[in-house]
Amino acid sequence: METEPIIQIKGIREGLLINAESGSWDERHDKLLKLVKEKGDFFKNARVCLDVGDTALRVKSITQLRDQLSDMEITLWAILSQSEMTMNNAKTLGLETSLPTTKKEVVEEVERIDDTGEKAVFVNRTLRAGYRVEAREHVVIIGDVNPGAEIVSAGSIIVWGKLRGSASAGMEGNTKAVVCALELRPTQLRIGEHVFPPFSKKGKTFPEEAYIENDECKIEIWNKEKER
Amino acid sequence: MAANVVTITSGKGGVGKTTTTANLAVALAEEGYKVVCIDGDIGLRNLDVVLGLENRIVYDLVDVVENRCRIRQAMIRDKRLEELYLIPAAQTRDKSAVSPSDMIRVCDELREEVDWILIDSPAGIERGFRNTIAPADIILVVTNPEVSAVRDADRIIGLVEAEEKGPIKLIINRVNPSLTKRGDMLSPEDVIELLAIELIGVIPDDENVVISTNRGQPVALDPKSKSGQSFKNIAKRLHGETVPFTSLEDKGDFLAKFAGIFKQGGD
Repeated sequence: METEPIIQIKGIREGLLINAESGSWDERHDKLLKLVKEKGDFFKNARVCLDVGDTALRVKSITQLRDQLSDMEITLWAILSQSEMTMNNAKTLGLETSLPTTKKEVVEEVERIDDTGEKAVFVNRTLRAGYRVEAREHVVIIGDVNPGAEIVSAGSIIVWGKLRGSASAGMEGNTKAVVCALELRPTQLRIGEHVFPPFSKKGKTFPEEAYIENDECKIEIWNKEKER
Repeated sequence: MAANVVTITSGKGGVGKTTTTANLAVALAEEGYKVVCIDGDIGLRNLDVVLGLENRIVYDLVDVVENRCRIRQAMIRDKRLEELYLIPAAQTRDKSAVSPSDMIRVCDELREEVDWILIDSPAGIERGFRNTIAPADIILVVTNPEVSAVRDADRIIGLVEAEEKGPIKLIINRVNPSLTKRGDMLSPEDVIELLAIELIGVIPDDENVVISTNRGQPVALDPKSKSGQSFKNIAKRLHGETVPFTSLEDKGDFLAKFAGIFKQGGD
């Protein structure tokens, strides 16, 4: 039966999931490589998981594809298949054959908050250098934000930990946004258009809240009773 | 035998990855383990120089990967220690000559034959880094007590965590107790506090390391060297022995403080 191979790509937590389940293997293989070449930069440095459906693949077919992808700076790290032969061959090559069970906590958390207040992005880990969280919603981090990490939010930013990276709250001009942290020592802090003066690197170990009042940058020791 | 694959990495260049790899290899081999080091820095090889084996290279890692020789043929045996071998990097190729799955294949082939496989990672976070991380069971992140090195180490730890690799352990290299005391250098405590991973060793700043590196005689071979002893302690901790963190200086209780942090560390 002749069917035009359909290749679907979607982003998952582990990188990209490519579905290529129908058509002959050669056609799919060629189409995939063509697609990757066309999209160029989009795939660069990607970690790809390939779902081949029930196709039985020989070691040679897998290694060939892996090496071709590798030449284009793409890592093939997993192959999903219902074929036992494909699975076994992939395993021998050190590839994964299943996706780690996805943690849905982030999604659930957002939905739960929706019932009672505004939406927030919830990140339950430390943000190390090079990580960036960008959201239209509020951002809640449980963990530290290390130097070199970055948070950008249209709403407020709450860090249950040390904030030492850079934080930009109220990015669409919302000067009601606040930034709080258990230790507020960001490399750079902005709320709306306002840029806070540089923070000292040592000495503070109490929770603080930064906000804008009458066009001025304010920092206060965090106090829930406080009236504003 | 099923070897542990240990990758030594740092992000920033020049913090002592290669020196650490060479010395840990020597320390483990001295204890009687069979050790293979792999130079993962293809195109800029130098582990062979530090180990003093440069004039004996016939085949290299790329030859193994491209099936021009068997793995055995690329393993150079050390002159001093029977159970120490080096698989050198190719000098004339670049990182793209090897893929992460190639590295996994090579290591899997070696696993049954040796006790420890130590991989020296190149600087940076690109292909070469990913090649060396792919087969790793344990990742040792080397950093200096400098803000820039710590920042890069933090980035590397983030990348390794994202790949769900580990355990990740920290080596702080070139610590100068007198500079730290004056507050002119980050203290090991500062570094650990930021990076929040388990500490496995602190190496004092020692000019003998430079001298021995140039001679191709790792300091761990010298029984009197203090930095050599620090490397030996790391080797012991690697195979599960408990070695207390001792003071780098004769007087200070300098490291006693973070012995506590060491116990809590890791996850």
